[in-house]
Amino acid sequence: MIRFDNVSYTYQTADTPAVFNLNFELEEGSFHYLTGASGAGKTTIFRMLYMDILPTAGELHIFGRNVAGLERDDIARLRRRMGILFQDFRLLDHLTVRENVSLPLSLQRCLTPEEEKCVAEILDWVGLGQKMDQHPAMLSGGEKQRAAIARAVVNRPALLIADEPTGNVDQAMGRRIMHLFNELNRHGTTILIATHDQQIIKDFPAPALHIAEGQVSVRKVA
Amino acid sequence: MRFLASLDPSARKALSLRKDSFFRLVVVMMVLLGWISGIGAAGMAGLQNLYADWQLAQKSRVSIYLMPDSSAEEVAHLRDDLSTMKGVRDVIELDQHAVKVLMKPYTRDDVLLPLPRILDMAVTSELDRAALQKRVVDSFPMAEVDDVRDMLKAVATVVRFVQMLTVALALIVFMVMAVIVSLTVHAGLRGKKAALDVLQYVGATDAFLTVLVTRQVLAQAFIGTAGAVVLGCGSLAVASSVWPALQTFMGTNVWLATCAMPVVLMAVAVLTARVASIHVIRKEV
Repeated sequence: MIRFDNVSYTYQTADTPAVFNLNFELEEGSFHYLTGASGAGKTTIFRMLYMDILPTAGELHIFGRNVAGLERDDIARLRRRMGILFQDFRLLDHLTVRENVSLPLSLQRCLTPEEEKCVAEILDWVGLGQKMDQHPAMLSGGEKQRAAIARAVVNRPALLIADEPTGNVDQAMGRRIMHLFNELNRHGTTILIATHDQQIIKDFPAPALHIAEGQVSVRKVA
Repeated sequence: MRFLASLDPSARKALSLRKDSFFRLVVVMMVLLGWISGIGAAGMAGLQNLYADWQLAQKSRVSIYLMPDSSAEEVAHLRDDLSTMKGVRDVIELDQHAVKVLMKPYTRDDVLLPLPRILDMAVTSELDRAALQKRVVDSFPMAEVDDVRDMLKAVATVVRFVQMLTVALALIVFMVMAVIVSLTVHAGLRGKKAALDVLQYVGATDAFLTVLVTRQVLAQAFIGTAGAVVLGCGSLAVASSVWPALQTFMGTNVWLATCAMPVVLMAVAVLTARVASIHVIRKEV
């Protein structure tokens, strides 16, 4: 599903690459963590995964397509098959929770009654059924996180990438979120989670891609 | 067809520019500039009508000025001769009272000044003016045939100049509108950078985002256009009731021009919004 072949990325303002010669693959339906110290290159890998930036060297294949040379519209269409969960949620404050979650489904036409039902069900699933008509400013950090999760999964993505999804919530909420991800993964969604939380990794074991000094190594977690 | 398809309220609201103060200005400027351009175009069309009427009147009459001592017999002979020419519908000799009235501005109260004899001809466009000139001069070498072609040419040049000036002003109005819309879209979308990013991350294409913006400008411009048309037609109605003489020149084309210019302006606004939004989306996101 995802393949990094000798991928490097160097920011325009930097002399050395942020990530160098990355080689790894994510199989369809797999669950991986992405770990590493701050500044190790996790965000760079994430940005390449959602094609905000493209590799400056090597080949990155997403859903079987080499991202080099993709048209902007192709990138948009590939993103529709992904759920992206940002550390800062990126919810739009002028929309209600329901409208934020509806966004990925609203890119073609008005939502069908089935899609509206699906939005309501997902909000129920993340425990925000009672708050769907509130604005994000009225939600707690954990609720925002869950709203962001609902938006990321509402179009049933083939790939979910999440940047520190438990970073802004308490331990109980973090576990609840991880249960949600496990359930999604059981339904076939490929998941990659960037996290610092060793306890989460221990409680929900999965292979970890550890990035250090711009290079990735795979660590099996029992 | 996506442009006309109904879009989900979430997407529309995400990129809504309605609260942007610059964006609200589009309606006001649309009314103002649409009204100015509509009235300008109406003036141009009215001038064209006035000119066409006047030109028709000038072209359909020819006057021949003969010396005061010309004999009645020779004048009658010339009149009969000219009546047979192709393109001549009628030839009459003005009576002395009519000539006196006609010449009064030039003779003032000089009653002793001998008055010319004048043949007044109703002609069509088929008239060969060179042949007419030759026939008249052959009979009366001192006669003068009133040829308005030079004057018509001069007036036509002035009319065309005024019309070109109006077109130039209309272009300036269009450019001003384009600049306003472009600045509005640039400012509005830069203020919506976060929403643009999110929409892109969930898979919105450039075309979809462009449609979201362009439809908003279209809605604003449509309201402005309606206002400009009402204002323009109202202005014409008031003008024609205050100055009834204007009604003669207020043909369908005048009313049409008043309505059409704001519509063209709306098209300019929508086109500019489309180009500006593509530019911002590609540059900013």
